[in-house]
Amino acid sequence: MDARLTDEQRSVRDTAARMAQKSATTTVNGLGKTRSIDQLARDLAASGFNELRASDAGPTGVEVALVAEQLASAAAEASFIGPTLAVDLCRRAGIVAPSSCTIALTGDLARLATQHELPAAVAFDSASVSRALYLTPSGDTFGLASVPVGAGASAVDLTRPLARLSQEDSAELAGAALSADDLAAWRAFGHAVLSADLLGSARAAHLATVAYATGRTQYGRPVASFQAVQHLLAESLVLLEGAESAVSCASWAVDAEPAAAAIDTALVSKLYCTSAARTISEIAIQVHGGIGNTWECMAHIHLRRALLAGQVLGDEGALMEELVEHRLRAA
Amino acid sequence: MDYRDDAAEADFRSRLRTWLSTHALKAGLPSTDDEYWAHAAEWHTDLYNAGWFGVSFPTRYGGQGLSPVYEAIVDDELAWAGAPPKPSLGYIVHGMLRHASIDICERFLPSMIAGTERWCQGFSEPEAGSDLAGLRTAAVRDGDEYVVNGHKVWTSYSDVADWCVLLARTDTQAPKHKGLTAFAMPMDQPGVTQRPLKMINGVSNEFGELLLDDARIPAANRITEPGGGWAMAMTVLNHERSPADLGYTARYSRILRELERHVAEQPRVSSLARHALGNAYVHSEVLRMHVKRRLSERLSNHEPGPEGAIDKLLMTTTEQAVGNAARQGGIARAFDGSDSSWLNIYLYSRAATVMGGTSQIQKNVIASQILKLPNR
Repeated sequence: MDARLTDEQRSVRDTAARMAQKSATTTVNGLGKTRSIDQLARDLAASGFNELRASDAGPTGVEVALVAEQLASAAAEASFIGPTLAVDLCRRAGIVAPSSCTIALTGDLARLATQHELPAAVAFDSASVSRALYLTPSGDTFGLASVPVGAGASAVDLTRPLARLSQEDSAELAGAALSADDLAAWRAFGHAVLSADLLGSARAAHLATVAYATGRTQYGRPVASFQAVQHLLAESLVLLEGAESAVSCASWAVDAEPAAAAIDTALVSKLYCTSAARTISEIAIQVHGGIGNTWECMAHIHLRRALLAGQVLGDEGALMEELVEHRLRAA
Repeated sequence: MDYRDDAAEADFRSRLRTWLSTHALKAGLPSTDDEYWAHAAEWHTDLYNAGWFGVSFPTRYGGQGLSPVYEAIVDDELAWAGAPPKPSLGYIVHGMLRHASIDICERFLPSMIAGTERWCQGFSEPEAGSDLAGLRTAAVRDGDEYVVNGHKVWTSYSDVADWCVLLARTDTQAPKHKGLTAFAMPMDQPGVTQRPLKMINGVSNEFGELLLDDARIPAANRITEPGGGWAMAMTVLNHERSPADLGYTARYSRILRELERHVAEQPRVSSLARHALGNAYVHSEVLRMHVKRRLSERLSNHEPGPEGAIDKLLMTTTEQAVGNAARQGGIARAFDGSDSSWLNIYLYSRAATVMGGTSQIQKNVIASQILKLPNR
């Protein structure tokens, strides 16, 4: 057993971090700048990070998680997780993914949409993607089809858009066949990567807050010198470290462990990271004081991204029920 | 990165699993009654004699010199078998390895690791809790001996210990952190009086206090140089805060498995209890993953430092989440007198945020030494 990153994995992480930081904004007004979003999208394409799950050549769960974490740390707006989940789904279905494609989720974001759910479905992580994949059940298996992505939907997360789906021009992907087990393993991968996204958002919120508290003075001293504030920041760091360990193990498990074990590890990781990222963002808002409650402070940007990621493929209530069911059945 | 066992690790795991399957486990749930502690010494020697304790300690002192990740395998398998956790001794062993002479290590470590001689730790005092460096127990040189007077509290296993790692003041003129020295104090002597402290869960075999009235320690039993006691205490505490060294992940997993069985048998379980159970499982699993990451870092010869404070907070959150699950899922049986073990697990869990340094002190350590926040 050796949980340390390999040199290659460290290099993936560092490359992704450089890429993400280059186009990152530290102000809310800096969001939505098409030029830097397109630049990051080009960098991601050129690096091959978009295609990490395209082949069966080897385990890449850890690498995808590292990229996702770095992108979230920069509140990156280029799409990555959605298209990567689409590529991974197609690989499991034995086909090549259409280009510029993400996934279609039910309106509550809890699972992949099926054909008849399309009217209320949304494309997840839809920046500059043209189509979204949905499921076409047939007997015990599932086929795949895609529809064009339409107008933007709600904007809870200001960094990663959702979009409505066109009701026309759907296209079946010939030869695609997925079992329920395939979908379960895919979902474990999704939770592991979303955990990494949550970790990245939380880290960004925490680092910005430490910097703010060190610079902001009251009573003639930095607010970070007050024990009450220090303890809040310490609590955030503890949650971050736990989340990092969970993401590491869960992103490794998706390629290395039997599906049942990988799923439970992914559920544990997603549940922990969802709650940790929310708490850390809330602490960020608190430590920023009045500023933290204004639109211009980045804290709510990280919180919003975390809130949405926490919903994708099942919210906390649903995942916790699922996990407890697994445990009690095995007891 | 690979969390899987390599060939040697897999072989070790499979031999341990076989051994555990054939060894009847006499102990009950951890920390719920005196019965459990009564068997602790026997469990230690059984584990050691079969080759499952001290696996990462140096061979010259009776360990097996294996990589630190073997400790995680032991913890995992003990938990999986429903066995008691391994003895929590790693922190004293690491403290000695780092700060004591080879002569001291050779004299004391082999029997400590083998479990033939038992140890307790005399650090805290009634007036020196969080402010440990303010301790007043004095050791005064008298020929070939030191004469010790003072009062130690929260001394785990003091009732059965042969030896005590004693932190005492040898220089009253030096600044408070610099006047301390660590000793190996023999417990069986007229100057040492041991009194049990009954805990809120009713257990009185775990915790004690020591009254030291002209207790004598041969000068040759000095573990550190005079004035070197604080540095050793910090190493001991860094490891004592580390779930990797304490083996507590096995304890949490084991309690949860029993609790899951108990809850699964109930005709109706409240959604709050189910949630508490799931929450405790999430925390205990994340802690297990975290321990693997930390033990892997030690492969790079990384010596545990202030991040032990982070690990301890993760551990105490887990302990109290498990305690809360026990309270919500099993406490009902305490009220009709049929079984108070779940209540006792809950009550015991409250100590987690105090022992080994309070959570508030851990947060101070994180703020100053890791986040390096300004202090004024």
